[in-house]
Amino acid sequence: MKNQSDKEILELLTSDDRQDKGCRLLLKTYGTLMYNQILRQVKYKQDAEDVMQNVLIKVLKGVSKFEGKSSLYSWLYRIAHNETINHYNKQTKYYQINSSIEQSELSIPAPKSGPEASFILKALNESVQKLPEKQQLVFELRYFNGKSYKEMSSLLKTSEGALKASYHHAVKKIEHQLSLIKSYSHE
Amino acid sequence: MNKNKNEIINELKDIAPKLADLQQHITVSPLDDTQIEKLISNTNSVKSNSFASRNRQVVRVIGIAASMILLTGIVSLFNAPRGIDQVNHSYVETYVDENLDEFGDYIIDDLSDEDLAEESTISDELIMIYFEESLDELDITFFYE
Repeated sequence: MKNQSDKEILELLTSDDRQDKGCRLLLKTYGTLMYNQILRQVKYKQDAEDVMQNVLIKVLKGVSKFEGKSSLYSWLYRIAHNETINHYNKQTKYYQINSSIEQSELSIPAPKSGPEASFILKALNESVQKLPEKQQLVFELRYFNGKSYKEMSSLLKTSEGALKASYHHAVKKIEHQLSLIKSYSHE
Repeated sequence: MNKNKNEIINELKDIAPKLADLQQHITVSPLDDTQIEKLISNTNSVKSNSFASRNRQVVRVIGIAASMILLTGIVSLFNAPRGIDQVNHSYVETYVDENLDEFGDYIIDDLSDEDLAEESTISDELIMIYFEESLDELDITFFYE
């Protein structure tokens, strides 16, 4: 079903007179995933929306060259990832947690207040960014977006077994990073 | 998200208890319809601005190209090789006169061959007289080069 949806999205996006419809379908299907992926890495919602805007423009510019070797979502994920980095490089507003962080703006509420939460969230975010792209993608979908393996398999055109292995590796690496945070590990 | 949340937490409890603990606080911010329409509207603005900018560039390039073509045409007109019928004597004479150093050797050879003059006595004036008399027979193809 997802593949059919991807096909429809691609057809609409490459059609001049129905591109708006394609954008709408794309954003309704993958918008929330991409938006949260970006939101976790930038500080403000407005920044996330700006990055989303750039992502959409890049998608429209590049869709005619998309060959379908990877899944549509993998391609979108990479564009969103690159655009987030561009945003960081341009505006240096990368998600850096500090004592004045506005929790209401963040998609991940801190489990504890104060510097401890800052360390944990910073470590979590940094750990995710250090993962290989495939593991990052799988972790994003599973941990942050609560996708089932079946849904992920359909999204990424990968077997559930392979996804479970990727997720397991990602989790172990991130957990190791989190365990290095002294203040948290004493809890 | 909610339907899988417990499954994810249970899955993490053994291998990643800290991540399991943190999972309780993970929320997803949906991209709502207002945001979607705003994104599409902004994208259309960017596209139309880009199109207008590209049009301006095309007009500029066409303008420059037209100017270049016009300029090349004018230069070519002045430098255009003339057809044999159109080359009048005065034009050829003036040309040869101005380039006597270059043509002189050929004419001197002709004069010497026909015993009309010796090389040491040939003046420019004599060359021009010879040239005028021989004009009809002269190979003027070099004017086209």
